[in-house]
Formats: sequence, structure tokens, C-alpha cells
Amino acid sequence: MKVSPGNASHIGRRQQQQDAFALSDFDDAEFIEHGGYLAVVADGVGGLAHGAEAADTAVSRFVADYRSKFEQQSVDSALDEALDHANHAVCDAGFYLGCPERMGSTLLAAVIYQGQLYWRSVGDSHLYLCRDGRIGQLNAGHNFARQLQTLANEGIISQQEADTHPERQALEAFLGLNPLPARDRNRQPLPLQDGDVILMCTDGIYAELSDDEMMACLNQTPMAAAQALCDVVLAKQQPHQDNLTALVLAYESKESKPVSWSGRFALYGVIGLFLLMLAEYLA
Amino acid sequence: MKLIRCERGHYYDSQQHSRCPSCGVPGLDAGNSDAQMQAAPVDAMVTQVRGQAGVADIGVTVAMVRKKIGIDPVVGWLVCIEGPEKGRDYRIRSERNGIGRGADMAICINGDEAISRENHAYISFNPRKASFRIAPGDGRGMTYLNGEEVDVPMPLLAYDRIELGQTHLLFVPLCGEQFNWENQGE
Ligand SMILES: [Zn+2]
Repeated sequence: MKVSPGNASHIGRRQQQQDAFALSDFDDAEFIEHGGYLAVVADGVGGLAHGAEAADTAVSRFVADYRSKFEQQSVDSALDEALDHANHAVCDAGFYLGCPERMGSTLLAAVIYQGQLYWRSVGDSHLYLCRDGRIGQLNAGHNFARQLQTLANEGIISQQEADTHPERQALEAFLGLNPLPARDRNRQPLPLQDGDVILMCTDGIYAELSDDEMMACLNQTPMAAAQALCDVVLAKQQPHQDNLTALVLAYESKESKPVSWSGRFALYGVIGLFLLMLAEYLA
Repeated sequence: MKLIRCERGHYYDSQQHSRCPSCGVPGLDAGNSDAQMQAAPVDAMVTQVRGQAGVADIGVTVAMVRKKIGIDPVVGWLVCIEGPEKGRDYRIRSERNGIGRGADMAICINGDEAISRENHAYISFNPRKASFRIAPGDGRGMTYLNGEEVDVPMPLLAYDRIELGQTHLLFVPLCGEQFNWENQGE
């Protein structure tokens, strides 16, 4: 199997780049043997002090920690440990900078190991699986909107209150809080198919693009795809464009096959994707 | 295309960039390195936008911080009066509390295998009305309130009895008419 990396990032129209990302060394066969391929993206929380430092700390600590996993350790356990340590690192940084609990970052990490996808997410960065010309989001964001909807469903607040709450987009969970109020993961690793593409992005990308627009960017090499995602967003010239980052991982089950995720077995693929996503929710 | 990985874990095409375009001076990394970008038509248009960073940040994400008293305070308890964890208490906090076996549940009843891992039921506290409710969970497991099945959200009163799995819980409120964190210490 083979995983090809793609990444692109841009500051948008903000004064500071508060997105950070990193990928592991995709040529390090020895590490890939037990740790697979790692990609991490973080979005510093802009309303808080030191968002850029928070995102940077989260990513560098997470990658360093995962990179130091020992051979026998499972991917799941290494990911959980890295997430805990990254969170503590952000908390500590907040403490030393004199702004505990007011310095934060989202974090989304994905590992492809032996043909299966493992992920962890805190906050509202998005993870997508693109298969057979279809794109589906694998994680759910930790926005206050989600909690508001539950409160509305339970009759505690009205639907209108939920829909118009000024803090709908506020993050409920981010690195920098101890303990972490929420963390998402897949319960079972997701088996990948030849030609699958994984997209990870911050809100600067997904807030501006429809699923179709994202799909249209992905039908090329991962590096070009990531750049295309940024370019399409920037071409919209939004006056307050947020920082934007896209990571693209293309999975090939065999070394020699070229990337192609359209056409063949489309029906099976679509059915499979739905079953997998259903399984995620039921698990 | 020849991909190189910079020391901070970014990939870039060394035929297009002499150094990593994703690394750069924070806050100033929108400028020159992009000038070397390939001359695709879309890109030429985009490069101009890229130079314009520095407009005051507006509408940045604001985080929810439990600012009032620094922590998320207890508003009531559930006490296990029958079942594998008999004698234990569980803290209820403001707004929604999921009950389940999983370690990430707000109310974790780990010892009762008959309880769903995630969100077997919910207890919620409405800080504005200082009132509690119990609501059915997401799975198939049943929940009973004083012997009646909970199929819609129901108000909870002091010393109500909740049954789920093999566990019987007694509800003990802290917040209500006599006490509320909102009115304390301001
Ligand atoms: Zn770099």
C-alpha cells in the first residue's frame, strides 16, 4: 500500500496565521511498519489569546509524541496518548503565558495504518472521506450549536432560541481545557479502498465550499488538490476570509496503481460508504 | 514534482519552491514566497488576494469558556441505591449530562453491563429555570422514572427514582429555589 501526502495553507485575510499542520515522514518505512502515516491539523482559537502558539504547540507536541510511540503500542493507544499530551502542552503553555483556559486550539489527527483509517478530533476541523466520486464527513464538530439542538429537542429551549443563539458557532471543546470536555474518534478503524482520498481541513476551507466544490478539487494529485482547495476559497475574495488549511491523503492499496477514485464499482462503493458511516454512528 | 518534507512536517514541491512555503514568519507569511508560484490562471488571480493580509480580524471564533466561576459546578447528584455500583454517587453538571458506561460520559456507570456505553439516557439542568429533566437516550436501552417508562423528556423532582440497566438511582438536587450558583458571590 501507499499513501501520498498533500497540504496547503494560507493566512486568508487575518493578521495572524493560527492554523498549524504537520505530516509524518511518509518515506520512513521503519516507522510506517508500526505507526502508519500521520497527518495533523490544528486551528488556534481566534477569540483567545495566543491562538497561533496554541495551534503550533498542539501540532508539534502531537506529532512528536506519536512519533515516539514504541513498536508494540497500538495506533489507538498512541493516538489517545498523543492527544492527552498535546492537550497538557497547550494547558501548560496557557498557564505559563498567564492565560489558563483562554488559550486554545482545535486538533484533528488521522492515521492510515495497514489500509485502515484512525482519527481523533477535538473542536470543529473537518475530516472527509472521498470515495468513488462521493464525499462524506466522518466527524462532527464540537460547536455549541450541537448542544443547542439537543436542548431544543428536549424542549428546554425553543427551536428559535437554538437557531438564533449568538454563540452557535462557539467551540465547546478545544485543546487547552483540562479535562477535555469532549473528544471524537472512530470506534473501529475504517477500512480504506484503493483510490480513497482523505481530506482534513479547517473552517476557513469548509465554511466557503460546498461538497461539490470540494470534490471538484480532489480529482488530481494530493499536493495539487490541497492547493486547489485553497485557491478556490481565496478566489471567492471573502472580505473576512479566515485562515485556511487543507491536508489531502491519497490511498493506494497497491504500489503501482495510479490514483483513480471515480467510476469503477461506484455502486458498491456508495453502499459501502453508507454502511461504514452508519456503523460509525451505531458503534 | 519532487516532494520534500520540511523539518516541521510540511510537504512542498522542491521544483516550485526553494524553501517550505508553509513555514514563514508568523503573520507575515502571505507575501513573497508565493510569488514563485506556478503561473496557472486561477493562481495569478489568487496571488493578489494573498498579498492583502492585515485587514483587522473580524468575526473570529470565540470560545465558550466557563467564565463565571472558573469550573463547571455540580448542580445535583444521582446516587446508586441498587445495582453493581450501589453506594456510589454521580455528579450532575449544568445543561446536558449523558449517562452511559463509557469513560467519556458525563455520568459514567462503568460497572453495569446492562447500560449502554454511550448516552443510555440524559439528565439535563436548565440554569435559567433551575429545573432538571430526564430524557431517553440514543440507543435501545430503556429508562424508567418512578416505575414509568421514559419515552419523552420528563421533569425530575427531588428523590425521584431512576432505573436503567440493573441500576437504581436516586435523584438529589442541589440547585433550585433555595440555591443557585448564578446568585452566588457576585
Ligand atoms: Zn514547513
